Amino acid sequence: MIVVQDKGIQEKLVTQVKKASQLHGQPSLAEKAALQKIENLSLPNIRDEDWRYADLDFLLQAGFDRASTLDQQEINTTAIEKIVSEFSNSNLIVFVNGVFSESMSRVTGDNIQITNDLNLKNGLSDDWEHLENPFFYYLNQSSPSSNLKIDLKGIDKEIPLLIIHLDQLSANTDFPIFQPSISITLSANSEASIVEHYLNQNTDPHFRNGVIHINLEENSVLNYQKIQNDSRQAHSLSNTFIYQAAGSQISHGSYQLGSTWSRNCTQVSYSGANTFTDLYGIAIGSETQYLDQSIKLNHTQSHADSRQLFKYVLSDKSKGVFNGKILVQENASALNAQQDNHNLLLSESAEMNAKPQLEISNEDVKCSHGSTIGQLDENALFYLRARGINEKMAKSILTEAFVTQVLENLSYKVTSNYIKTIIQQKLNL
Amino acid sequence: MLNIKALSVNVEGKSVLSGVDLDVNPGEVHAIMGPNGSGKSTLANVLAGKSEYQVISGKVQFSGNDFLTLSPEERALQGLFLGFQYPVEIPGVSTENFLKTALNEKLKFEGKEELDAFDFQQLLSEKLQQINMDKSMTDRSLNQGFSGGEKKRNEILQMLVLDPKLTVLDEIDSGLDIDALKQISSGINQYKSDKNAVILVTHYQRLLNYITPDFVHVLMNGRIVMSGDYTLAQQLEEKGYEWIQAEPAVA
Repeated sequence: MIVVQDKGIQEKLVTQVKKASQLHGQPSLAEKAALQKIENLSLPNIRDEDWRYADLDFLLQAGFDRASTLDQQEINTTAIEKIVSEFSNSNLIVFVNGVFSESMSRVTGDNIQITNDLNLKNGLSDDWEHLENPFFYYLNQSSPSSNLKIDLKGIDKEIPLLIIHLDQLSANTDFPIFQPSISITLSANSEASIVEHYLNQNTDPHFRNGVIHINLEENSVLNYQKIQNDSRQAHSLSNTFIYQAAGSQISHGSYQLGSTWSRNCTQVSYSGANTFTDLYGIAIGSETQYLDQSIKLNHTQSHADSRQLFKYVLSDKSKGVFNGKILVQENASALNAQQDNHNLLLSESAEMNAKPQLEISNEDVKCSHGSTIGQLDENALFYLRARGINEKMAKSILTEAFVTQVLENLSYKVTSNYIKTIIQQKLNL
Repeated sequence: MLNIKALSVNVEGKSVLSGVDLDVNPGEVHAIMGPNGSGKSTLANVLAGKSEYQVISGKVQFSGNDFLTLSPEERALQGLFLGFQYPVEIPGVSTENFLKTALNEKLKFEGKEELDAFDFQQLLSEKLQQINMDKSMTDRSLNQGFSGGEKKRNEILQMLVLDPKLTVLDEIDSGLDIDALKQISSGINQYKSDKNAVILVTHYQRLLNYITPDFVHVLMNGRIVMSGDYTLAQQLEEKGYEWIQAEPAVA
């Protein structure tokens, strides 16, 4: 049964890609190569350890809609302007339905260079394919909605580059697939911060299969925050590839707050020593939301520090998945890797699936991990209520306290306050 | 103010209180003393509404209203304050924000205007001074990493800020050194007025050297077996609890 279903989804997606290509004109060589990949690879399914809980049946309804043109008049920019003003009118890159919008984006100065080129090929080395089934990466590359290259030199970290994905227009297809692809390179010895914000008021179901490559050159330092506050009709898959050269540092926060189905696949690989990788996130689920983080660090280089801290708050019938894999290769020594995943279940029907994995092939490594699943502390709840704070409010206060620790990783005030506010709204504070 | 009649309480099916009677009026300080396991803490927690205590029979009225049907937060808003024997550590919730939320909930309930950040700061620093507590304590997470004495002082600070009608302090003196004991007693004495009442639940007479109770009750085996004035506490200090057990119950 399952096999037939998988094949059905895969065949449908391949047909859809071909159809979309014809509408678009001649597919590029890169697109053709990617198409060949998705014809030959198998769609991830529940037999894959990493995809065990990810139900992909919704893909049977999804299809491409590349022919539809966007009418700028129809785009409601109020939400975007509100965010931009919170971030001191920073540089702005906007995607609408997965397509880069030149007219809505505002980039000034020489320190940010952008090129949009659908024929651009984003390479994926063999390393990645061992880590994670690359089907969705190639699906994206076989028919990208946009392919934006961003070259960053140092920018003021307190004023982040904003990347906003607005999926707002109702398209001609019932269940459209949007496939933005972004490739960011941060120059050697420079620092930058990026806030990527997924935002939509779209009430129609859609699937966004996004790819983002982040290349950190030597000694560069990036702060990258990803806020996913999609509508409950969104299905969101994020494929994030981080390449770290010697001496580079990344602080990456991911906030899964919206979508009915959301999976973030984050993979990190290294080309040099003395790197620092700090990954953290908050997932807040209710109703029947599915929130999934799949993290893979492939330590091939020595003298590296990595930290992970992910917290989930799940209520109603929501389901969370955390797969955190740390690979330490034989030649990688003097390593510090730490992973923590803590989960709060606010209802009996909520479900958390946590799977830390450490695969270590070197002796000179300090690795630790901790994972907990629990409920709110009854004694703490009683303590607050005994001071006249009602039960609902007391629960919100304790829940916020539980996730707040994650935000302590964020040293930039504006960004951290912004995220805190969104999270408080989610928790009804 | 508080009228407890024939209160019997079970915990996990076991009888802990069996027929407690107690009347507390405004302006009074009551001490409830007794050996370990006599039901003192149960009485305090039942009044505050902790859910694992099952009231089997009896009545508790507060200002004439049935208290036992109310939720813990409703009891607090009516004017009850329980100072915990073991204050809970709550990481991530700042003491100051917690206190401000609690106070504003109370003011809202009373139909009064809520305090803004500035007015609250003023009130807080005034109360901190009363018990010689440093402002930095309230910037920290609630009770997290506090010493035993700091936790108890924090309970007294909360009492002073919330200014309840009835304060029940459960073993507020346990684990305190003499300086902390003096500061806490001074806080309680500053709070005391002819409009409010205090119930001190304690094992030792020590605290009563600093706060003179109007009534002393001895709770044993789930019942108040003896009541008297301050001199009863002195007798207990000299003779321990055993001599009471030997005597026939005097109510």
